[in-house]
Amino acid sequence: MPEINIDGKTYQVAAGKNLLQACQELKLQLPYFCWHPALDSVGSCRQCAVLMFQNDEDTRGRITMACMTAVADGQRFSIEASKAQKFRQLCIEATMTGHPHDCPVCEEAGECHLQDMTLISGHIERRFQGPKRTHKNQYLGPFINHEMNRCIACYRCVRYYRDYSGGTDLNVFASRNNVYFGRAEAGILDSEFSGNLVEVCPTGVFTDKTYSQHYSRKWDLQSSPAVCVHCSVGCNIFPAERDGILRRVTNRYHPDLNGHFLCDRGRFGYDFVNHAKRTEHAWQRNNSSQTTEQLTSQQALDSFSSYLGNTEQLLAIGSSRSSLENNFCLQSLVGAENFYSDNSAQLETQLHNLLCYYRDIQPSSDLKKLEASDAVLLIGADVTQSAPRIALSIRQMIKNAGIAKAATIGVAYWSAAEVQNIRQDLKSPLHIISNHSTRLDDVACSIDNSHPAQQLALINKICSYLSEDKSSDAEVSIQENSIAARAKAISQDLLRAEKPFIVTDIHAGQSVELFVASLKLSAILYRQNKHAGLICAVPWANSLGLALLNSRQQNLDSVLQRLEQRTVKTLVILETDLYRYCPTEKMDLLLADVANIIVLDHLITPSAEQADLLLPSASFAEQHGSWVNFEARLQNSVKCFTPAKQRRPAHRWLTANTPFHSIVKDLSGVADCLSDLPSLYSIQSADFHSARKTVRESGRTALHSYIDIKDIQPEIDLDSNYQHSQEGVASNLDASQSPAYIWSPGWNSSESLNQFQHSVSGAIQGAHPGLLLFAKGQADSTCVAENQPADSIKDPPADSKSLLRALPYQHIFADEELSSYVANIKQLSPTDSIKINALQAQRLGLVANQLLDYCFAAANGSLIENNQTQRTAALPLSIDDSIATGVVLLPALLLQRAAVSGDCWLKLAAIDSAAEESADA
Amino acid sequence: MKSQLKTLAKVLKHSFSSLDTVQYPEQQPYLAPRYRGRIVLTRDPDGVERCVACNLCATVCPVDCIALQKTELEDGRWIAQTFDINFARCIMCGFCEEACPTHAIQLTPDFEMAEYDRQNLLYRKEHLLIDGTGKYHDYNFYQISGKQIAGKAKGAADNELPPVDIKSLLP
Ligand code: SF4
Ligand code: SF4
Ligand code: SF4
Ligand code: SF4
Ligand code: FES
Repeated sequence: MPEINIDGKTYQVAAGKNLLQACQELKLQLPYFCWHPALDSVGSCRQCAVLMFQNDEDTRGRITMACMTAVADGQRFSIEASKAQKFRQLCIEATMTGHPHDCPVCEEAGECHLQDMTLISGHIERRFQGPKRTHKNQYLGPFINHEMNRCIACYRCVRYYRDYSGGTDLNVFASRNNVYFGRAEAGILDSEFSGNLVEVCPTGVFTDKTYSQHYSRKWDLQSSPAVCVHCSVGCNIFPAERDGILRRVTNRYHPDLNGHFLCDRGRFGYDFVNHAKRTEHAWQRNNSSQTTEQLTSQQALDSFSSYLGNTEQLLAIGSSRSSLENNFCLQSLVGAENFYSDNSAQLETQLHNLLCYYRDIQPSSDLKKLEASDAVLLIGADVTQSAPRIALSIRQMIKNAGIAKAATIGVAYWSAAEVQNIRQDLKSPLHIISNHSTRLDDVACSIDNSHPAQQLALINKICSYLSEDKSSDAEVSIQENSIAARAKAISQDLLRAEKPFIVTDIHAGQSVELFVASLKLSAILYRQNKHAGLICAVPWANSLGLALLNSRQQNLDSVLQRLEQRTVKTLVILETDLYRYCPTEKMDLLLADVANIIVLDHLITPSAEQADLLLPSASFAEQHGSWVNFEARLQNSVKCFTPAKQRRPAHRWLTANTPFHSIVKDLSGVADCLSDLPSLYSIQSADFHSARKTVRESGRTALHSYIDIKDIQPEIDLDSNYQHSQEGVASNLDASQSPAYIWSPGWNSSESLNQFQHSVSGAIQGAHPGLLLFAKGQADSTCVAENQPADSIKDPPADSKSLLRALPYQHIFADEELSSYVANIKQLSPTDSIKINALQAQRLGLVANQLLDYCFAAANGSLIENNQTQRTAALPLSIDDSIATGVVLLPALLLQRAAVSGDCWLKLAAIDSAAEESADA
Repeated sequence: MKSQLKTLAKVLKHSFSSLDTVQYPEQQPYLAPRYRGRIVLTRDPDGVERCVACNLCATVCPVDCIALQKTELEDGRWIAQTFDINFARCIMCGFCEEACPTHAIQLTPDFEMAEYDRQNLLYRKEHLLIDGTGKYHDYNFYQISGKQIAGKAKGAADNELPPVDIKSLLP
């Protein structure tokens, strides 16, 4: 450990870092703009200037940029020397000459890094009286607001957007102090990760438009450490509320998962909590009088238990978007034999396969390890659409070859511009095997979009290359571009890599054979290389948690069967919408025959509209709960605010009033791997609390005065050590639980994170990283997937050659249920279409944008005729040449709704408009 | 004994001095314009609401008796959707006026605010807003701020250059 001297004090610092990082770890206050923990140094803002001394005799020293100075033993620096201070002060004074007088009307104010740094640098009075330069703003879409006047030209935005997240449509224009950061033309930002600009930009140029629509200053927000519910990654977030409205979501640093960045679905998909269609009261349908009555909470509970009095013909459906506790309470209430998941049989099997795989063969890997990998094979889905944060990590992995090259000539990884120069076009290999083009194609070194049957052959070939003895390389001549050649190239990359990764995913409608084959491949790789990793995204936020509880693997297919057999009298639906899994008309018919339908949900979904008894449950932000993410990491999410009216967490409806802690305790007994669950919830203690509100919260004695001028007592949270008030430990380093928000004196912006970390990429003090349920796979136990020869992909049912294999295409803003309630998200979701390649279209005599009818074929080849569904579902055709011949892509949700079990085949037909009209007439 | 007499004499002397008590409410005392009484929200010289809902007054208030919600007009101008002051709590310290960057919130020399019903001590935006500029006549925040609003394009505020032409290659 190098020893350095700063302002006369000697410190031990970590080797290989730069002085700015070292200062942050030592909690010395040194301002900065262009450095960012994930974007590293370029030394352009000149704000982190310090005095560096040549040797012990040197008294004058010279100004140097801390972020560009590698620490080495025996160095001597001064932060406080007046020369350095003056330099920093003048520097920020120059930066501020053009800055507008905007703070009062700036969304950033109160959490502005520029405000903080101006103060730290000691520039407190404006001397410059000249005119200010101004810029025009651009419309950048529904998420991000643009106010270019406030720019300080630190270049963080373009470095993040282009270099880190791979976006291309944001750039820097013009020159000198006229530089402009925006798009060539106003328009919606293209990147799925554009929301991070809000936190990356140290000023108010890029701000959260959705937050501005119900704005509140940061100091007025009530926050909690929670987990994103919009996909299986389980990114850590801070939801923030004021006055019963969820105002925004910001990133909560987790070193092994989301790091500093979220995707736009997670950041902007929160508004469903405030939705006009949220449930607030318990309702009961009165069939005799054809009315719906509002119930008191007690009446609702009584009615609920009277419905459940008869357990005969009872069926309950759990939810992949609800917490472990809620699902568990439902399961205990109705009995495991009556509990079903909301996964199709196919999904359920794959999820259990994955759990077994993690447990028996290879432990799961996290995103930090993925970012450190040096070769990735991506099989199956477009992760940018299904589990977006994973794609951002894959992009980082691409850079590793360049970083390694830079290291060989002595350039540190944190010197971003130098590394980029050395790297040029050098990429760590990413191979993609997918049914269509993906958002990662621009960084891939090989892309295979062939027919699933060929993909399978390719994967099997790679497997055989991998399992071969490496010395027997002498292979007889391989035809160029044949499957064997491609397999060879990929397997060589995987074998050569120190930490090769397989990335795959489970989603509805996929070719299961491919998924099984990719697990097999990963197992073979892992047997040879213990640093090999597997990342497997799963459908929703708690898919794996639900699978864990549902050891009987009772699934939605059997639910539909039982509904069809009319053997369900009482149906309990927990926070899931059956209409997402079945055509509407069919579901209407099925539900019409169920005597009692009880729905617990926080939104009035189509299923909730069918309820005989509706119990308003709470959203993720209004309850404590545990979630299991794609890597089987169990994380707890802390309640942010108390649900209004009759809303309450589903587990409180289901168990009447069992304290949360005893639910957690019972839950921990369900499976061995859950036994540590209570450790996520710190023991109740009367003398230690964290405050959810900031010390500066305003309006306490006026906010609710319009209801009653008497002060209202803050809510008391009996279930955790967090308070719904300012009382308790504010954020600080020694807290033994995660702070509820990130703020520290003098550091009001999200950059204050560095005040909570012991090392620059370390965890937030006190934050629990979550429990890895299957941390230690045993490679030598027998492998289900490996022993099972992966089936070959089936040909279309024999008698009909005009059938196409139907596969899903996903979209970040279209597929997920909760975020699809949010207007801004919906605005960006594409219109549904049927996709095939041009050749196929020509053969079928179809043209682009033509409206198409389609019908599904059952496994035996007979068409599933249903004129009603056909007519409503006519879709336009779009041509995508990345799709293989013989394959047709449908929107994921549509395919899921078709509820065809097993492989899915489709027959396309142009709508005959004449026939259509006559039918209408 | 002597000191007791002295005290008596002193007290007696006061019977002949002029009265300090005024016959309030018939007789009103003079209060300087900067006296800190009932709070008002003022308008800028153009007659538009000055308050931009920046929340600084609410934050600085030591008894937390100001609560407001920001909203935006169509042209991007920030204004307060609701603005509540709980005068049952207000201690007339004047911090809000000092913190206000737009001179919107001002204290006035009116202190006669007694109510029979405590609920009436909640003043909402319509009770606070007056028609004039109050003590500060000329200040117009949006003429200084860089934010564009209706009638004031980019670069049209005081002391601003016209917007940069980003296509220009001139040095
Ligand atoms: S960017 Fe910061 S300093 Fe600039 S106007 Fe906004 S809050 Fe004020
Ligand atoms: S827009 Fe923000 S991030 Fe980009 S250069 Fe300007 S201040 Fe920096
Ligand atoms: S990647 Fe998934 S978990 Fe992370 S922010 Fe996006 S939707 Fe949420
Ligand atoms: S400080 Fe002034 S401008 Fe800001 S909210 Fe209060 S009254 Fe309005
Ligand atoms: S942070 Fe060091 S120069 Fe910008």
